[in-house]
Amino acid sequence: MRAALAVLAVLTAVLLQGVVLAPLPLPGAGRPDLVLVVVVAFALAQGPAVGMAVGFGAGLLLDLLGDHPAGLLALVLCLVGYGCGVVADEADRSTLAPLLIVAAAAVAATVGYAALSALGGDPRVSWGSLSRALPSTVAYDVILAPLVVPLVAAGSSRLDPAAAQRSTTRPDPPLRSPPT
Amino acid sequence: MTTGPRRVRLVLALLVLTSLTLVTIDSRAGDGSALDGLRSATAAVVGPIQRGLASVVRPVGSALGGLGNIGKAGDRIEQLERDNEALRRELDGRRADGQRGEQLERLLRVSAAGQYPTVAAQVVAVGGSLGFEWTVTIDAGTADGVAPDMTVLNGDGLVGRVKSAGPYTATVLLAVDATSSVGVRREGAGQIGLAEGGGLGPLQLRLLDPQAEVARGDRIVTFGSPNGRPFVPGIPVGEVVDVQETPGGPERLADVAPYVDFAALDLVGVVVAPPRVDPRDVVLPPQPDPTSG
Repeated sequence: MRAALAVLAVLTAVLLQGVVLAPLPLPGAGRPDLVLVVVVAFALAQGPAVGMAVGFGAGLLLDLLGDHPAGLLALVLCLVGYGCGVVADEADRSTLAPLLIVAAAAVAATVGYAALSALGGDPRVSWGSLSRALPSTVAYDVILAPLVVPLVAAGSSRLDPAAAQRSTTRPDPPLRSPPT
Repeated sequence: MTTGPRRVRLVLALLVLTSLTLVTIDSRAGDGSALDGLRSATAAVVGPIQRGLASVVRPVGSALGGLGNIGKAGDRIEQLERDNEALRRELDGRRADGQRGEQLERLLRVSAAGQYPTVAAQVVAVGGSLGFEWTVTIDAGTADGVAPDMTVLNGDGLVGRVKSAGPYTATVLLAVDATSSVGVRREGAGQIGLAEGGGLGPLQLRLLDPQAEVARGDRIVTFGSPNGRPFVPGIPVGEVVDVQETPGGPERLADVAPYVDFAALDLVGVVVAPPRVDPRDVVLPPQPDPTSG
């Protein structure tokens, strides 16, 4: 059931990204990346295991629809999903924390993808175009975050409230100190 | 159920390894990757949904419906004139999107002028995740006669070429993409060069002859590839706006402002067969009279 939600969310994000968001005449050289924000949202709601799986799947779908070697975005979004899942507990600390995590994820994903592409000899990547596009990309992703993150969180907890607790990379702390 | 952290990291390593393997397979194969089948299958599934969503999100251009493949050698002009008349009547009678109708007329005029057999299509999605690719997805595919390495144009000029084609949609590599390189020549001249994409900025024109004369205001058209694949000859590309002075250099460089507005692509045409005769400079609009205005 949760898997179905994730697949649907990723597919919807890819479609909305291509058909609605990318063609918009927005100011700045960057564009909003709805798929990235959805991956981060899943990682924040359900932890690193789900984050990396959703990231890999979404990245692979974007790779197959795109014009670059397949596997690049799968790798980048998988790692970003895992990383955001690991710090997911921090997201509860304040209302600002998820926005910062999305911003950091946007920077990491964009720079990471650019670096990997450049390593692979892609002539499209240049430091100039990266530095021009990065600030507005991050800004648009941060704008999308308050819309997407709560939506995914609500959907996750409604579908599977027992499993709404995150799978973490460290064991749960003891609920109370052991008796002395 | 909480997944153990070690197992999670194991799966992560597995996914990373899979990704890297895919990258290796896909990069090394050049133009014929083992993953092309997977790409085609993905396009076959996602394409129709993109088309459906696009038709909901944008006003439907009902005049496009019956256009299809325009004519063959000999009947081409008559066919275009008949279609043009029918479409004009249809457009007059309907509450169609005015802008879309105008684009269609311009596209038909360019197709007719150069005698390019053209399949009309609409841009349904813009590609370029994380922003380095300049591609669009159009709602015509192999089922409509579109194949890779076909020229894509609109009423203003060269848009790009078909990079890959699924059954119902195709991906177009735009002329402004950094990997796009188009053989071009100056209007009226034989000097040839390459127009390379520079993303948001102007196209970079490299004239192969360092003695070549090129000046601001020169108009550039496609030179044409063998068999018209990927580029048919005579399509307007852009106008020279700046010439770089590098005397003694191996080639002449210039900036070309493209005629097409790549930020606002909507209706395009895919040239499915080369024109019988090179249209030379016929497709370019007549030069404005310098004494008027």
